[in-house]
Amino acid sequence: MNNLDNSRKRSKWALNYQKQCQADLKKVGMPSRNAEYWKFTSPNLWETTDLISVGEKNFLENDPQYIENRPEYYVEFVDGIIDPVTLQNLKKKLKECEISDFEESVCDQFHWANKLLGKAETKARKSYERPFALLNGGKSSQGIFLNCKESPRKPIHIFYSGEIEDKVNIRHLLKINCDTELHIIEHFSGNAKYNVVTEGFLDPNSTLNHNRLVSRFLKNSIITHLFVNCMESSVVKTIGITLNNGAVRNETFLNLEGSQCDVTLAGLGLGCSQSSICDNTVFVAHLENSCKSRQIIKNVLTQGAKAVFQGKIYVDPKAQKTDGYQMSNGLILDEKSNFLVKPELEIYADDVICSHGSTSGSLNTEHLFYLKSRGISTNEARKILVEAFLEEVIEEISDLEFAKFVRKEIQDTLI
Amino acid sequence: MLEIKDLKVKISEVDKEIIQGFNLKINPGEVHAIMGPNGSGKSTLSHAICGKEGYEITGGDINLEGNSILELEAQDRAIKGIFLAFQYPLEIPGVGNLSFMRTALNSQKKARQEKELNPAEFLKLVKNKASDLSVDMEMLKRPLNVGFSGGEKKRNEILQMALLEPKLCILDETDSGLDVDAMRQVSQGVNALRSPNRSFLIITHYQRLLTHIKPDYVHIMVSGRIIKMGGPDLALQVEEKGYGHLIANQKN
Repeated sequence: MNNLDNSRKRSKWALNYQKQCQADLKKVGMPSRNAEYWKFTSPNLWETTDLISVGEKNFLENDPQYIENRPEYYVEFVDGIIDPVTLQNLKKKLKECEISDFEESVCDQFHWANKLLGKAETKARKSYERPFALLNGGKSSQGIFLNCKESPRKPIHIFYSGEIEDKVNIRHLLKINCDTELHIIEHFSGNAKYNVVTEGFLDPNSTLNHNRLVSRFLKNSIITHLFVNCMESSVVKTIGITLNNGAVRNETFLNLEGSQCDVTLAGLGLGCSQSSICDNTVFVAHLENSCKSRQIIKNVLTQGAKAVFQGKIYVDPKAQKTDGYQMSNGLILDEKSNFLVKPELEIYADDVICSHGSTSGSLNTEHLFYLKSRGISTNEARKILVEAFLEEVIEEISDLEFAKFVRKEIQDTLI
Repeated sequence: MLEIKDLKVKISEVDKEIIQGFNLKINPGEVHAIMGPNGSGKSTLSHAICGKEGYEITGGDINLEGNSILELEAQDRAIKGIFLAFQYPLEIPGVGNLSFMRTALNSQKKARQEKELNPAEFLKLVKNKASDLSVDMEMLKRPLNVGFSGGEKKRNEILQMALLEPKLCILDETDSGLDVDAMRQVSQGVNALRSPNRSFLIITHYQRLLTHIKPDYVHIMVSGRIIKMGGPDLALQVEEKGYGHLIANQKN
């Protein structure tokens, strides 16, 4: 399997998109530190080399332990390649959704995705260029395309595992039909340098619940893009948990094209080393009336870690009665760590409520004394307060089992 | 139990000596009250005994059961048996009340090499103690003191005291912000904990708390020193004539 073979089989619509991405990337170029949204983190951290070549994979399908520890609905990408067994199992179990992997989808001339692929991304590029997404569009050969027709009863988990340290491009496409709800939970625990782009298309009155956990064991750089187009009364809740020691950049673009949408973006970062960078770059475009958006960012930083939050709320002249909120808090535990914040409001409507705020500080000494005065050690008291600081984001996670898992991961990271 | 000898305390931030040669001896089982006007150094004294950072001991000593505690951090003083019921218990969002209390109790047990309680054992214990103070499960499940009324916060402090079973209980203006019924309830909780092995230091502006919790001794503190000591009658005298009268007498 290589890029050339894939391109021969691809349908015209997919090839056109791929070529367009490659051409646009050539025109736009990869970002430099001078680009407006790359001033705080160097794009060199997410270097731009070719897609991995794929050899024989051991997908561990016969290992019962491996199956046992996985939830009911899941697919796994091992070293960036979809494990076919997990895909087949998911297709069998999940009757509520039409599921195909990337290659299957793009080789089908009449696939439902043919009018959607790249459309949310194109809208996002109107705010500012997304060269890494173009790079992904020009190279991807892996991912899942999911057409949600009825609400699955449980979240669908996507695992990214594996040992190799190459660069991996993965592309997902989600279509959520009217009155349905889809919950996706992504787990990054592999060693690869991931570039993952997810496009979501929400029909009226549908819901996307999305969680992303970047494991504390990861050292390599990851860049993700989530581009979501929202029709009227749709709901998005996306929560990113970043615990690793490498560089993570999450670019999110929520396009509120219908009225009365309700979107929440929450980001939690726990950086405990000098190589740890957590960058959340968010753009919420209010294009119609009466939509509500919330952005909540919490970063704990120590040992020279860095966090970046660039969050913009754009309100179109048509988007009256917009309710926009943005809050970022940094808890900085030493003098070497940095929290860099760029909040932006761009408002062209007059009847709106938009607020934003940002705080950075160290642990509250009064709180510390209260806990210590009960016999709790300084170290334990600090841990309790760090966990408490992050709890506001964890409370947003609707899947209680996953929330419990995240709390445990945070506790283990803090030891 | 507690012996404070010629204590001098400075608040580091303002470089000002608040306590200037303070002496106090509390024997096991005794209840001492310290009364005084605003700014007399009562809260500074309680913080200095508990080891809060930012208070510099410039002279004298504090002994608990014969040993100086000045070198100990706040948590180690708590483990030795000192408990402070805060004047303004802090609201800490994100910290569950119940899990905080279990962590505190188990931290102390662990340090004393006693068996720690598992969640079920702890829940049984806390339910038992909480019912006496009208603290219900709903309050225990909420984040620590968040959204609690003044009375609830103080009852929650006394519940912690009942769970941790300290040797020396310091109550820093526990009566502030309490209505008559809440004061009675809190006082009943405190009285239930009185024992021959446990001592109390009650800091208050007013005599009214002392009608519910009968002290053995009353001390009047002014400008960082004790100017007068007596029995419960002294509190009544303050109520009647105010601190000005005592301060004037002292000057004469």
